[in-house]
This record gives sequence, C-alpha cells and structure tokens, in this order.
Amino acid sequence: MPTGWCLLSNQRSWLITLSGGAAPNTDDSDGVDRTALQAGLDLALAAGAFGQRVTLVFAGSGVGLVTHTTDAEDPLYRLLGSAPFYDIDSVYILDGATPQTAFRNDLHVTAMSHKEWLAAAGEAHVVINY
Amino acid sequence: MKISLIIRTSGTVPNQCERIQDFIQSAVDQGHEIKQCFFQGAGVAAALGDQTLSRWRQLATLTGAELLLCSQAVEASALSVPEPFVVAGLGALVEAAVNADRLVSFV
Repeated sequence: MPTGWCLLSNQRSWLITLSGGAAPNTDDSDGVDRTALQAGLDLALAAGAFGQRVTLVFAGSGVGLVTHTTDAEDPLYRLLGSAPFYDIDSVYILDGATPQTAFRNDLHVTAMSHKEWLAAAGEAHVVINY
Repeated sequence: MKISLIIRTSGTVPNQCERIQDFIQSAVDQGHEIKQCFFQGAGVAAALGDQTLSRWRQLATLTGAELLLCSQAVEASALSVPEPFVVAGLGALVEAAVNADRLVSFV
C-alpha cells in the first residue's frame, strides 16, 4: 500500500468562516471580536499544518483582514499573511466585495457569493464559523 | 454517530453551559457517541465554574469523552486544571474533527 494513502485517508475538507461577530463579548474599541478572529485563524492554520484542505472565508468584521490596509503591522493581518505556508493559497470574501475593493496583495483573494458559500458548506466535512 | 464539540460560550450567557450539557446527555441517550469537548476562549473559564464543574465530571464518566482545555486560554488566564480536564492544543481539535462524524460548535 502506498505510504501516502494513510495521509490522504485522514484529509478532510474544512470550511472556516471568520466574521468576528458571533461571540457576545467584544474586546476592541471598534466592536470587532478579535478573539474570535484570532481563534478561527489559529484553527485554520493548524488544520492546514495537519494536511487538511481548508477553505477560508472572510465576512463581516473579518473582511478587514483581506482588504488593503495601511496598518500592515497588525498581528492578525500579519498572521494571515502566513497562510500560504500552511497550504492555504486562496482565501475568499463573502459578498460585500465591489470592483473597487482593494485586496491585500500578498494573498490570492476571491469573491464568493452567498450561494457559493452555501454550496461549499454542503460539501465540506467540517464547517465552523468564528 | 461520533460527535465532537467546540465550546466557546462565555459563562456570562445564562444557562448556556447547562444547555450544552443537556445536549450531550440527550445525544448519548439517543445512542450517539461524544468523542471530545474542546473548550476554547471564554469557554475555558466557563467550564471550570463552580456550578458546571461537577456535571462535567459526571458527563466525562458517562460518555468517556475527552474534556480538553485550549492551552492558549489556560496559559493566558493562568488557570489550574482539575481532573478530568486536560490541557491540549489545536492539533487535538483537528484530530477530533477528522475522526468525528459531526463537529458541533457552541458560541
């Protein structure tokens, strides 16, 4: 039996959506639940590190992490920049993107419609929202 | 069905811990298997509250489920960890998600 078979048998598809709005306590001055965004991003990177297929979607308050910013020193923003090292090569933005939206240029950011998000949720083995 | 849980609910949400515990009890009563409860963020402190701790112990005995506390939250709050809780990293959560039929998240 090929060695890689065991690895592939444990690979699942994950859909992780980061909106930062689900938790009741907000700890940032702009009302964004940074702890939820941090927890979700940490899990996405951990899953990627363990060979999982991760589809990472940003919505709501999480959108700021994939749009162009002048505050590139923000720890979460920088952490997301490491996603390709965890085999997360593309990230998605759920609705809200316009042709004028300027995405960060160190990641491949793709717009995803609500219909596409629902389809992705139906196909994924693990679906989690943060 | 094998079920694992992510629990991030804060202790400030009234009765939320009890609802999660009722969910576990109900799932077991219906023949499902609870593999792991992974407590993350605010869920870690909530799990160790005086009002919920004894029932978590009962549920751990009943289900045999692992009760894992996110290491990041434990270190950040300098919490002491009573049995049957165990400190674990995100790798344990990934493993549980891979091996479970359903991963249910409570926020």
